[in-house]
Amino acid sequence: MTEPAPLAPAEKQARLAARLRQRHRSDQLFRLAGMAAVAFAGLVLAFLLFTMTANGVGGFQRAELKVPVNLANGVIQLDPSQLAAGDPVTVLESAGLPALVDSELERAYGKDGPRLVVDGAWREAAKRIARDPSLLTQQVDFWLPASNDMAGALRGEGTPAELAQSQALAQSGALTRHFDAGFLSRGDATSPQDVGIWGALKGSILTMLVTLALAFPIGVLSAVYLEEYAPRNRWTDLIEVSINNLAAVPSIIFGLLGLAVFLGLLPNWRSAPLIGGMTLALMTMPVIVISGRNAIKAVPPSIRDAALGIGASRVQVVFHHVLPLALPGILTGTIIGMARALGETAPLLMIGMRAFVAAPPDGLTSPSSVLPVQIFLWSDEIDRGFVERTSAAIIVLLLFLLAMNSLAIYLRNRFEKRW
Amino acid sequence: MTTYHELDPVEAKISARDVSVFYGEKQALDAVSIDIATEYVTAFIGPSGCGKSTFLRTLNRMNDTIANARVEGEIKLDGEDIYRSGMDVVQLRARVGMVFQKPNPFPKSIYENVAYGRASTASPAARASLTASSNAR
Repeated sequence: MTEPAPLAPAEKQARLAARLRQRHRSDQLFRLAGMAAVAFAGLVLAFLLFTMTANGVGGFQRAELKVPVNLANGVIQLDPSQLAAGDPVTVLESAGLPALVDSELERAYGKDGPRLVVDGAWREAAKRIARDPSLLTQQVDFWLPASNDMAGALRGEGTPAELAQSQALAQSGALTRHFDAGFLSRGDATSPQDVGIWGALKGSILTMLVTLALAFPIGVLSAVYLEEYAPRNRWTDLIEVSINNLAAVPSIIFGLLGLAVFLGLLPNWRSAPLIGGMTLALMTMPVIVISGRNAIKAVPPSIRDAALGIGASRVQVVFHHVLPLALPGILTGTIIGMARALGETAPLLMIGMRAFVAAPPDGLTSPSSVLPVQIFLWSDEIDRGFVERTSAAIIVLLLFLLAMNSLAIYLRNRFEKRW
Repeated sequence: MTTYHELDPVEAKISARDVSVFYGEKQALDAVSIDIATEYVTAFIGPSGCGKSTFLRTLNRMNDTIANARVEGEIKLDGEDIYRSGMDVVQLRARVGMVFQKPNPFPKSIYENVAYGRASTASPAARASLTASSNAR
């Protein structure tokens, strides 16, 4: 072992300075690379949000035709108290509202007038009268959903005759696009003018509730048992490997499992949010177990020793110290798992949640659709009117996801503040 | 065999006989025998790694929490063998409290930290009153 020859002080200084410059350079380079990565991710996100909103805003509107209806001309013989007697829409139907709307359409737009609006457009008028019975004695301008052809022509798609007609109507102010509040309260339909997202949204909410109610307690309890109680042996190793593998199983396999097991046992609940939630819970649970175990592992063992050392029992150690400290991590894992479950389509196709369901679900066991499946179904429709509706549905899905995540983050911060 | 000063059984709160501790293959304590008197402060002094903490941990069975630790010999608390089967470890640790070398404040209020030893062993009703008085602060 020979010592390197001692350097002259000046040379030593020069070398040190050179190395320092090199270190500063690599530091700067690394920072630039990091900034570039963040900027790229931000750009992609901004592009996605921009295109989605640009396309989707139109989906929250629909083309509507102005129909002046004289309700006071004596065709409809009803007073407001009769409206309240039964379902107002049915009462108005038997009182002759559909025929009145048709005749007014003919009077305003010629004998093809009734074809300018969708079938059953009078229902929109009936709903408005139900909200405000005093209209029954007035001359009212109703805005009724335009027919698919007219809506398409207003977007610039259709035969020359339709385009000319829609242009004329638009110029006279009789055909315009209005914000369609009903999109958020209706169920699925065959015409893009009549569709709504509420059915799928409610289906998604119910499905997520079932998923959370099953996956969270089972996942957290498994994580606590495996970390705090289970002895280290071949069996727990096997369970650990199995759970890790379960998290990596393609989601359609869970759909097959749900089909074979849950629908095999409960065949009457095909397409129900309960079955969908159970299937997605199987998929979400391993994610919660894995993140939960990591969060519990990250709690310093000295905290456990300190509590045990002054006479706390195992359960007290878990519930007084370990779980509260691990909760933020567990909640983060739960958010990730739930977000994945919310966007999941494949397993739900297997258990029949892709059926056409017009009515929003009444409860956990009535047939329903969910947002991603609804988006998939609409994107497959031939009618061009569905393009905007699909984008609008995607915006609703993203907003739902955002709301779910914000709630989880709020809960996480609240729990952290308690210390 | 190490020699030690044997106390009158009445004075000895804790008496250890031939206590050896193994961490897996490694032996950390070799046949330690000592009597610890009641109403006295007893200090263990020694270089780092000589087994002071290991011995202390045997006194309230904190070594149970280390997977591969093994204790031989006999430790009696008030004449009762604390390593006998059927010994309630939680009860034992409530009687033989332990504070570790590395201080471990719980991420709670100071009051809750001080009261935790009592709170964790108290009845649910007593615990509620402890928590209530903590919240009143």
